[in-house]
Amino acid sequence: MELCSYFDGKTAQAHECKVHFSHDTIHLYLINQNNKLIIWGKDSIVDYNMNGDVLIVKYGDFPHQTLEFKGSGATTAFNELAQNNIEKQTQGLLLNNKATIAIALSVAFVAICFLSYFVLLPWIGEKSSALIPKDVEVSLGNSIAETVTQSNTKNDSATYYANQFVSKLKLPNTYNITVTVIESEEINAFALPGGKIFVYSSIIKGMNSYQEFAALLGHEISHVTYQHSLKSICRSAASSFFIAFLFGDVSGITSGILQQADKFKQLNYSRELETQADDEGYQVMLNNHISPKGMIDLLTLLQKESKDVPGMMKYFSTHPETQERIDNIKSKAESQKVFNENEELKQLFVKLKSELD
Amino acid sequence: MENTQFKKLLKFNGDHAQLIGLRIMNNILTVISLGFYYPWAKTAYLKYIYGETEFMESRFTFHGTGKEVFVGFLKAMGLILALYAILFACIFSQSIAAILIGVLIFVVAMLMIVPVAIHGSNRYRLSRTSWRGIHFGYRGNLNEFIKLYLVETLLTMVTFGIYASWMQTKIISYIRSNTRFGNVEFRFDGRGVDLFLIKLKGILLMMVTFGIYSFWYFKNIVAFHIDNTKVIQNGKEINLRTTLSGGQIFAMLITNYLIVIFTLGIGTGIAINRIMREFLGSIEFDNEIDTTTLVQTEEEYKNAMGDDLAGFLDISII
Repeated sequence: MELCSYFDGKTAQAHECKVHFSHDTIHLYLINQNNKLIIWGKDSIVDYNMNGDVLIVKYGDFPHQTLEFKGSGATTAFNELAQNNIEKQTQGLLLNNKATIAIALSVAFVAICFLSYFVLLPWIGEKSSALIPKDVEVSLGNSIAETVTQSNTKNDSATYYANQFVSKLKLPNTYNITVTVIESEEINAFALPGGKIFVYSSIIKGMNSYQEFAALLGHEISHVTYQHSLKSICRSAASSFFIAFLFGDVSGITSGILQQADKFKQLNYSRELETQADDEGYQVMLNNHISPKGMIDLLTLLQKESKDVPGMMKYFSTHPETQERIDNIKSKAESQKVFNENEELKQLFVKLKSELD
Repeated sequence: MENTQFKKLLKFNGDHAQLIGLRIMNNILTVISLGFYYPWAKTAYLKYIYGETEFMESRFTFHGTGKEVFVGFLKAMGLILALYAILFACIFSQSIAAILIGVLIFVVAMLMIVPVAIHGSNRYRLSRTSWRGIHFGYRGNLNEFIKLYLVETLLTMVTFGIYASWMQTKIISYIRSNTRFGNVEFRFDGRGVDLFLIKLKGILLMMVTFGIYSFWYFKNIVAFHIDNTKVIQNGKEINLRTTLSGGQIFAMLITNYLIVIFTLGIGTGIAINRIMREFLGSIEFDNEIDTTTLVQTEEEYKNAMGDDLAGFLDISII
């Protein structure tokens, strides 16, 4: 017999009541009304819910009759009612072992999040970039290229020779590569999705040989061939979506912190891509019988220029430590034979440089 | 009036582990079901919040089911999709007249959706809430409410927002006076001018104090809502007041913020429990409700569409 309060659904008056559970009925005895008996069929119970140590049972048609159990009687009554109800049984389990289950669930949840973030999302990001049709990629690159050209000064004759240079190279023919030379004090070059490459005039001015220019092109062309920009965009879109989805409605600051952390991870990814571009660029040079020493010279030039950047900033850089890159190429180049000079490329490079002075 | 004694009748019992577990389960299931679990997640959450709320030593019950909310969710989604379909059909027709008509229909419909959502949400939520077996109810008339809402919105627009305080007060007043709890009725005595002055003072002092005043501003808003609400049973009035102080809100929100940040959001359940506890624990009544004469008056109502529309529009209803 469990004690509880009974409400008849007509008024809010509480009736003290004793309850006896049997196989398919519940007997209620109203204590203050000479133990008046009310019999409930278990199958007419509409709903019952446990909150903390309080159980509320609803019975019959609207307006429902209600029983309210408190304390240990609530757990007993709940278990009686939940016998044939698996869903409620798990709820009971949750009630009995709340802390343990909550911790286990938290750990499982965090593990799922980590797994999705570090394994599943990069994979989805990468796969989704493969789903984007080539012409979409090319037109995306073209529209970015247009804004770049509009906000910079293009050197037409240097651009002409640079493209002549490219046309003499043997390249993987996945994308149509075009180079644009831009007047700028900055030492830089970048590749857009779909084959547009931009080279800043100052980096060419700093070069001493056509091999260095070939190394630069090899590196940038590899970014294009392996769809590095597209992959980065897809990956970062996938992770931002994930973070916003999980934490978006929780707190601006939390998701803000996580987004910054996410940028670090992307930085790491872009370093991976740079290393790949170095390796593949190196391969482009070998395929064209150009001495890989050009790549070492190019990297040395970059290293000299980046000396001005404070140490801490290098940590935030998208490129790996230049010394590491030089060592990487040197170790490959050691086993290579000596290459003959390619006179045609040499001449084109001289013409290209003369346009910049 | 004699000097009355105010006492606390509301209490929130929430358990941290239970709410954290519930939220995690809800999140996981919503994510893996691509959002389709949302109605059940929402119901589980509301059942928790209502079930942990205690008034005169009895708990509230939320009777809504995931299925009801899901059906409402589909209806609300259908309505919004239909509106967008009309809009896009008109835009793609490329005839100027059709575009104008399409945009007009869309804007008017969007304006009307808000009162429909508020009305529907109140009807559903209140009807599906009970205490000691007695159900709440909402008796507002939809046409009347749409008219009220549109006129008030228009007035707010032509006064460049200054009228907003009066609009808000009128809407709360309409909803309160149409809320029933068995044969208990409610009334809201707040005046637009008072809300306007609270807001004006708030803006000025927040500028001077670089936002620190916002906690006290928040306290004034809460007090405006609580202190002006009257509960009426058998012609007898019960007055409410809140003892919440600006300092209390300040301390609570700062610690909540830290809890949420340092648990990466997992501790949000703790923050919710703390807010509910402080908020409900601060409300005082100058009399109890007479349970022997509190009788059932409301009918059952199961349409959750308005509640789901309100969810889409981010309108929060307690």
